[in-house]
Amino acid sequence: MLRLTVKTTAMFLGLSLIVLFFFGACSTHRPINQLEFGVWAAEKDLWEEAIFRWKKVLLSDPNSVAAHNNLAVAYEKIGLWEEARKEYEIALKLAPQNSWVKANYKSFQANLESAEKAKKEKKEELKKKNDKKL
Amino acid sequence: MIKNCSALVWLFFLLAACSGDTYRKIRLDLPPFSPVRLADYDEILITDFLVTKAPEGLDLNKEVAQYFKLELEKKFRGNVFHLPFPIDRDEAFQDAATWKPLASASGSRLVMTGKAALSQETRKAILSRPVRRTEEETLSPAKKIEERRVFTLELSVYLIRPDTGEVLLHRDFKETITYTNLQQRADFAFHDLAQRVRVQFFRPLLGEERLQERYLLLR
Repeated sequence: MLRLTVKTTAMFLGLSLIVLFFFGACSTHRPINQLEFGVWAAEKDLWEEAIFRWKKVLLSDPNSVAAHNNLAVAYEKIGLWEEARKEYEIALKLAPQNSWVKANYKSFQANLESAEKAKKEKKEELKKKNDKKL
Repeated sequence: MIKNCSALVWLFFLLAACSGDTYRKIRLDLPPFSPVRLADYDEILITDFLVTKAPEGLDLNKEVAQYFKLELEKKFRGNVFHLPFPIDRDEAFQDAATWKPLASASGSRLVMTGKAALSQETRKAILSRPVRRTEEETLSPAKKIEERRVFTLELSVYLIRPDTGEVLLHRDFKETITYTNLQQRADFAFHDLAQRVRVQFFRPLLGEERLQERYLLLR
């Protein structure tokens, strides 16, 4: 009797594993909502489409951390630094402990710091030139 | 009891199958900061360059303008063209009135201009190289004087908004190259030197991208 139950459980487990594998094999990365559609578009390098999708998400859910974070990445990609910063800040305000948003923002800030440095250098260069003229 | 357990196991696996990732790690080329956003402009006008020194037989102004035109055309999505607009003095670059006639009606034109000098000279170099020790030769290395052809390119590049006369970007470059071939042509040397300038100037200007990692959230 005990052998039979063990056998049945093992069979169930085996079957479950097979089903699980089938699920994995059958599931493609088809986007199922606007957010995922945006991610899919971004992965295909269609950033304008991705931005459109994530903006749509925000229309229905303005507090979507994912949409804000993803939009920030998209803005970074197309060089809109200020917009990217705003979106990251909103995402971090909504989810201060989200490690993915934090990691993105950290990398973004590193880029921004080098940008600020370049700006400062330009200002100093202009100042020096003006001083020379005087 | 066993049936319940099996149902739980099934449920667990189904949930595991249904729950996907919460994020997607992507690698993307991100543009670095550029003091001039070329994407904001529709066309780039390259004027004549103020040539202060050039080897005989080389039209340095034409070479510089053509070189920049070709390089910009490779990456800039808008129109790039050269307009013969002579610059006769250094002060012109800072003088807004000089550039106003070049402004376009849409205000989306950028002017590239500057100053160029290419000098060449023959320098004598003392070369020392070790020789085989024989009974007749001294122990010191042999010294030899050889001539080298040296070219120096001095280039100042300005990017100016013609409607306001504002200098958006100004970079100075000084590059030197040495050839063992004393007959080295100046136009060839110019192109070798311009390659070096291109790397330093175009990388930040055209926003050559850097590969970085970001996380896109799925929920």
